[in-house]
Amino acid sequence: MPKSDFILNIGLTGSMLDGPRSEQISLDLACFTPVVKPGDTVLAGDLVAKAKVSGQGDLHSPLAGEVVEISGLSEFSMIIRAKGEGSVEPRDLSQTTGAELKTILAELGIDTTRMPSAKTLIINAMPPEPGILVQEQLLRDYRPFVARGLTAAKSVITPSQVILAGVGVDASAFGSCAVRLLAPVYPNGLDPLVIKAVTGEENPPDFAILSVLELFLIGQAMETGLPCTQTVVTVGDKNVHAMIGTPLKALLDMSNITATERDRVIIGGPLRGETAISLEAGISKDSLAVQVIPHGAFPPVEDNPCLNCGECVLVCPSRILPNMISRTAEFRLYDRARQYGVDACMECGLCGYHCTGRRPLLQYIRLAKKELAAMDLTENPVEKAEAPKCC
Amino acid sequence: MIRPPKTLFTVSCPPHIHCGRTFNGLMLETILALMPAALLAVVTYGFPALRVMALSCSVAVLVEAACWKVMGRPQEVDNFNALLLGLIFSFLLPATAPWWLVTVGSAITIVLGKAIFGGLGGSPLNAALLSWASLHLSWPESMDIELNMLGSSFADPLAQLKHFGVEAVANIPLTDLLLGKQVAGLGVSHILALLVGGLYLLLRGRIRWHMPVSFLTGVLATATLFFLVEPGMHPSPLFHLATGTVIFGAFFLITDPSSSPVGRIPMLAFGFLAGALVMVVRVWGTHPDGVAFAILLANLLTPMLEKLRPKPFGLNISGDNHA
Repeated sequence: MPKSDFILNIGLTGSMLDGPRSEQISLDLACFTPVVKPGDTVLAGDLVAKAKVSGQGDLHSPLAGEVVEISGLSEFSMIIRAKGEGSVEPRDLSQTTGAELKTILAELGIDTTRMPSAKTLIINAMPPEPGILVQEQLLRDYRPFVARGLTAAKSVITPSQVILAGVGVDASAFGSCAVRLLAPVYPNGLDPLVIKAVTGEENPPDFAILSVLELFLIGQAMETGLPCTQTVVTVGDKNVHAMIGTPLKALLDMSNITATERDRVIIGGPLRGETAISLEAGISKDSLAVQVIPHGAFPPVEDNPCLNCGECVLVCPSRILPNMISRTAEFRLYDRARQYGVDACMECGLCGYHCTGRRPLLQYIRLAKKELAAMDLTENPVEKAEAPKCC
Repeated sequence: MIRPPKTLFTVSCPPHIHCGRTFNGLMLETILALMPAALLAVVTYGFPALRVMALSCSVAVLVEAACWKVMGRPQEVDNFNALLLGLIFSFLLPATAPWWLVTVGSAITIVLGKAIFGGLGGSPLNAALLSWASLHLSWPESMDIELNMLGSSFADPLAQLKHFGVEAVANIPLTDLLLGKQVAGLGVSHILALLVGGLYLLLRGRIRWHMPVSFLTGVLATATLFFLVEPGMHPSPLFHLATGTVIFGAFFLITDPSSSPVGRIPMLAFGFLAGALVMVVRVWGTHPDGVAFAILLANLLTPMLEKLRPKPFGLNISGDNHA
């Protein structure tokens, strides 16, 4: 595989494909508490798990079937096997607005913690990582859904200003919203950097930012009145409109991509995605892409010492010192990692990409963050309880 | 219930792609970049130069292997770093250096320059320069380039300048200096060959431009300042660029990752400071060249220079006072 050029829009060909009809789906339970037991029968759209953090959007069964098991390979998934027919009744959302709509959207599986009341709403139409074509497709072919989602989001967020940021987006996209064109290069599509490009400020107050996919999911829920059980992922060079929980195997088979022993199967992009343990794992609402990186395509990560070349510092968009953070985390000196700016890390993965020593820099950064969060919690339990983060 | 997966995939933290730059590759390419100068050294000084380089490299590799053994750490002598350090160190020696000097120096490079600080990335000082300075203070006669190269048909222009004043070097054409018609450490006098190697590393992205450019700017700016303030007392600024260890230092010494700072502003400040110090030593110091001491001094300032870093993203606005 060639050295990445980090170009974000690789050009979309063709229209969105319908997802594979899978007999068995696997729902990721990492952020959810299940409300059904193995053996229960569910209808399509039935609530199966509640979000651990209120407002992050509950989880519903995408198909009618029987809950086969909860746990599975990673102990964090729920497997539902298709059985019978039937779906929940759609809700009429045409008259609902504001706070009431926000509550209902969360019940329908939309993450409403990203929709606070704010003065400015930014629509992030940038592909977050190379190889993700979802945004391009939705803006090109599914604009009515996105527009419907935007109307609903506006009703919840009540912004006085809406700005669309993306690559080659046109001003007429959604009526009167302002447009900001950004260079299609990673990491420009990450939320903090999009906000900075649009406003000139870093982490300004009174802002909400939603991706085109989020708006599409809201629009889909508004149109159908049904819970969010379908999402869009890029597989290869095509986008697939698939049920959440669709096993990776079905998606890869559909696109004739094979994954063999020791390859990496990535849910998400090459710089921030997570590797799957098994092809039975299913996609979730925000998966965005499924990619396979063959074994041996890149030099592997190794337990090498940091040689202080400083490449990571030169590329870091957060202007922190990944070299020193990784060194301190290596020796469990997490307080010092904080002095080197670990809290500002946006986890773009560029430091690891450029590391001459091939050190797992992002892993060290995440370790430091996690340990620091645990330390904060023991020192000051009250303060942290007010701001729960997604697990 | 945990089922063993049928196919085992690689599971890892992101990122899942890599730029392809590896440490071994970096070492090999740096050695490759030194080859033109090494070749010309053999052409100029003959067998003695080859002898010094070969001995220095072999001792460095053997001593490093012994160090890891003694320290009970996994053997990493196969990463070419010791080979490169041995080669860099030998470049600084006179071509006639006796075997014991080369052996002691090469061993110091590895033991005091690298292993004692824990290996790669730990050394606060440039290993080869540390060794050079130790030898220079211990056996000044043996390390004196001019004294040891009396048999050569060329002279050391910096020693000429130091001992006989600016008139002595006024008539040396710049092209002679560029073509290596001067005496210096065995590998550092072939300015053009070193420039070729340095540019190769720059274009391949193996070193970044900040330190070489700011170092050369520092030398040039300070030399120009002296040239203008005391007219007739100093040779042209370009003379200073083309003599001694300046070009070698700009691409191969100051860019040593372990002892140099990270970040754009610290790198630029570090290079400029080292460059300015070269001229300070050359004009006011007792040592004719000055590059080695200038870089070592700048190395000591690295931790301080690294404080010149920007605020982390967003922390200056959100009022987050962790940093």
